[in-house]
Amino acid sequence: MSIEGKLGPIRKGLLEFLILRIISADKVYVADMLKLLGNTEFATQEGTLYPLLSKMRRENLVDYEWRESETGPPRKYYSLTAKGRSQLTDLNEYWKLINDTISDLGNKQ
Amino acid sequence: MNKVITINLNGNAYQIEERGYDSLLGYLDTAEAQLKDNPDRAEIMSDLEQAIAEKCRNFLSPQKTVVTSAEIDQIIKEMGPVEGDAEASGAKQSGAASTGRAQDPKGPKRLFRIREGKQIEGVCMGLAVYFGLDVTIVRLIFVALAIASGGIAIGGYLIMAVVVPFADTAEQQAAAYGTQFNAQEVIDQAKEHYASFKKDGEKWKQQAKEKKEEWQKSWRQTFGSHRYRWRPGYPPPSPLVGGLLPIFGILVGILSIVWIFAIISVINTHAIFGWPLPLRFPVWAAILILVILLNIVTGPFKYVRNARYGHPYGGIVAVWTSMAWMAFLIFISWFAYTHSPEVRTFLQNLPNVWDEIFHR
Repeated sequence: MSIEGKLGPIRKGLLEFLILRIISADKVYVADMLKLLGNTEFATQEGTLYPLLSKMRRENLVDYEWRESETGPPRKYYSLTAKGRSQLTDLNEYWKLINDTISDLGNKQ
Repeated sequence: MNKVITINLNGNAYQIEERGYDSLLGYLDTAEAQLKDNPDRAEIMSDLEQAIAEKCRNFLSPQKTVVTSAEIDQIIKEMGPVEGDAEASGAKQSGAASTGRAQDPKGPKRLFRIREGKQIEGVCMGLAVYFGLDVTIVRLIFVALAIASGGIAIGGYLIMAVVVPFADTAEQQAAAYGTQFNAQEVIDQAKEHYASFKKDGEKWKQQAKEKKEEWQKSWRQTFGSHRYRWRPGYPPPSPLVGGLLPIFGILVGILSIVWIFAIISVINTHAIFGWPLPLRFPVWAAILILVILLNIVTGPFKYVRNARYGHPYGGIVAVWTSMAWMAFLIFISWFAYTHSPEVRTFLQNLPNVWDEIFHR
């Protein structure tokens, strides 16, 4: 298996976590998220993001409100729900744990 | 010069080139198929349409009003493939973006119009490819048919030019040239159809016969044999009818011309005088609606004309009937104008009809 084949699923699994982090910082709409992710390893596209966000909304992790924009039709701005925030806290802690484990294991004592 | 199609994306009108329109439709169809089990499908589709609309807007300026096919391709590439719910999250997908219509490459051969080598609308070219004949032979057959049928074949050509799509995407071209035309398969299919038709056919035939007799009876009762025939027994038409006839004739003429331009506008731009049809609204249905509309609007005028020939309800009554009918139409138009923004846009765009047709 190529290295890309191994990294793909990791990124895939982490995308939802990253979206939660982005939304927790500020109310954003999809183009903002794409821009923020654009320069990272996690660059993604509308075709992926819209279905993911709708799934997260169904799971009651995020919610959105319509806001007028200066240049076009109103946009959906996403924010975290209480459940989303608590899941983000859990994920943050879990991520720290994984990081510690990775740096601890394999290092010569 | 490329044909331009006006589309309605999430409530906004955009003009895009024809090939770009086909790609866009393919992308949205694929997306919809991917999301078919998703409970939020409608919402996601409208989100996607809005995202596409915003990207289109970035390509437009006061000097540039049409989104090109290349720009649509770029937009589709930026959007990326839409994924079903099972694997709804995926970052940096490597590789194939499925932008085209999902189609079985070994699917049945289908009739398309072909641009390459076309003379008028590519109908003969498409038929030649479909039947595996030389295009010259098809054209000769067509010309012979046109003469023999007294022009009816030309009508058939026009209908096909409207109904049969061009083979533009790779999938469509594959389907147009498709697997070799197999006579045996066609015969088998025809047999199958015939068998099922025969089964239901008897029943329909009986029903149709009864219906026909019923209509004929009521038709005779209402209009009798008076239509279009001067009957010496009836009083001559009143001067009012005679005076109004030329005016009504001119009105019908104007309406017919506007109607023809509406048809041209629908075929060329997928919009009626700048009022775009919904994205997937088929052109043939729009034409059908226009035909019905023309008949509704011109119906009363014809009624008056018939009255001149000694209609039982003829003369002044016919004039008043058609006046009432016109008043009703005007009221309906006014009502639609004040209550439907689409109709208002349509009517406000009417003055642009000449620009639409002559300066495209």
